[in-house]
Amino acid sequence: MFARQQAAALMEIKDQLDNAGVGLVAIGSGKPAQAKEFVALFSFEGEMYVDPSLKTYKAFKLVRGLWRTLGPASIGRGMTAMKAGFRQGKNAGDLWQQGGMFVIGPSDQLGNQMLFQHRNQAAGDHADLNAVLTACRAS
Amino acid sequence: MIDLNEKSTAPDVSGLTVLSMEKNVVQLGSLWHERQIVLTFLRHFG
Repeated sequence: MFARQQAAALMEIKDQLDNAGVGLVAIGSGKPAQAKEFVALFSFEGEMYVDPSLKTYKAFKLVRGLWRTLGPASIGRGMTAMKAGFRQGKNAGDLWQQGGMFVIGPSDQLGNQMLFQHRNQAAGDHADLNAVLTACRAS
Repeated sequence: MIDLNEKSTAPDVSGLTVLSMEKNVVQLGSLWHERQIVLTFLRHFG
């Protein structure tokens, strides 16, 4: 449900990212076929990759845990998401792994500089996309 | 976590790969080598 919500929010700023020449890349924890189904069902127009090993999630120090997913904060956000029309689907990836968002690159000009970073502390704890856009414009 | 707009360095991703939807292996760092990207890590697809 929260991945669907995040993808929908990103689609709302996709034109602005395109106009700024900024790519949109998503990584999921499921399998390639599950990613393909997700992209088709929810019209995600960014680039999609997967990392079922979670090694890339660990490299970016993204948090993982049972209570990160099922704690009170997540339940509250889940209610809000459901009121907005998002629904929980079947498990397609790691249930306990949380996400995050970064503005990064180009590494050939800026090194591996990150201009924005947000690590979700619980399910549904998404980045402020206005701050993401500001970081993109500021570079 | 508080969003950080201070410039900081990305982790060392040398050797880290992801899979495309066509199951091609892609070097993670290549995704932002020549361009700026918004990189989002999603929760599970459900």
